[in-house]
Amino acid sequence: MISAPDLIYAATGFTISFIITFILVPFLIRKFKEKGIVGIDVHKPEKPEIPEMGGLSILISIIVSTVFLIIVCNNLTKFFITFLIVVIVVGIVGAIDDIKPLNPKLKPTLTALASLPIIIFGTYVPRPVFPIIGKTRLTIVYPLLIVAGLAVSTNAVNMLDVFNGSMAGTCSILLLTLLISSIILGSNIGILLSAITLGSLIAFFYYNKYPAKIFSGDVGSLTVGAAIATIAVMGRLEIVTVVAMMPHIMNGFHSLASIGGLLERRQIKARPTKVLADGRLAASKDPKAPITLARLILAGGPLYENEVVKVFILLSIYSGVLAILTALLIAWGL
Amino acid sequence: MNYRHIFNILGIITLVWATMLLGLVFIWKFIVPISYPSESYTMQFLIGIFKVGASGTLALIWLYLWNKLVQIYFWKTLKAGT
Repeated sequence: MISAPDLIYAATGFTISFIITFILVPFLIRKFKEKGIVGIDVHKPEKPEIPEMGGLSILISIIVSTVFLIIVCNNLTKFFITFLIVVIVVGIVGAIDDIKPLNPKLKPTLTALASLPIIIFGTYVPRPVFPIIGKTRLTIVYPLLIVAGLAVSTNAVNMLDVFNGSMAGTCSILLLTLLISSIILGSNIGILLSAITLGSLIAFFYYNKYPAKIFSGDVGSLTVGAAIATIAVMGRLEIVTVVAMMPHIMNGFHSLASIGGLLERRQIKARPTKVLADGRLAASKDPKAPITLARLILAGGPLYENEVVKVFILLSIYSGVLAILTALLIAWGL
Repeated sequence: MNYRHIFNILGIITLVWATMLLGLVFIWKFIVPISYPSESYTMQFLIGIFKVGASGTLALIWLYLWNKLVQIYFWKTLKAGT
């Protein structure tokens, strides 16, 4: 049941995480440039060096605002502590991967194991609600789905972090969808946790949008993916999240299906897109290249990087509308 | 920007969403209620295995068809553009 204080805490949490990220990113840009923690922006003809691991600001702001929620909402402490542990563990995995790339099979395994606090603390209800069907009972299968879901969500978000603002933009839409769906379905955990993650992501998007001043790195994308999966499970928004994540799932699923398994980005020799002389991106014609969402979009003709991201965001908005429709079908008992 | 192409991708998303809901309803209405008039634990266990297997097979068929649709559409569009 949503109460007025919950909405005030959500708004305050949103503001705290927004301000922390907004202040922290310029500091990280300076520090990472000094230390040489930079990555090459491969989708631009001049190949500029951009500071990496900016997602550290997302992780820090989520930690601080979750601690705020622990202090003000005593009745939900168990859920917030679970969220905190999952996000911190996955964030550490992401940071390690940014510093020293992990084995492509080890990364999903570690992110899947990070879901264990949800099962250990019992902060889930194994009765997901579906539209038309209603409440279901998945007592035995549900914990296995949590483990798989966290691995899928973190890596799907990570795989869409390929262009300036693509991860932050699409995930901001996704979290806004979860926030609206939480209000529709009366999930106070969903409202509080979506609000703090959204605040952080919107502030990060300001610096990460085209032309990016900072990259999120795996520390950012894996943290956001873990936050989304944990919100979905603890906020009882499973099916809504699956629908809202459609662009991320499409990107990950068709990439993996076309290359035939889990491979690290650096291991894939045939690139899905190429940069033309005029700076536009075009779909690769190499049959060995993965069919990513960007390649699928570019099959219709070359586009500039910011135009591809606009299409990503458009697809996220559309999936968000379908997800809210799904939430309404559940709420109306249809 | 090729708006027709983007509209087609939105169409694929809509189709996937609608078939996912239909598939869930199908599983819930036709596979979950399957029962056998026997008190035997082994029989109940086998029926449980059958339900999970049938639902899993349907989900795999759905994923295969989704992937096939995207692959066919992708290569057709790419070839049409060259």
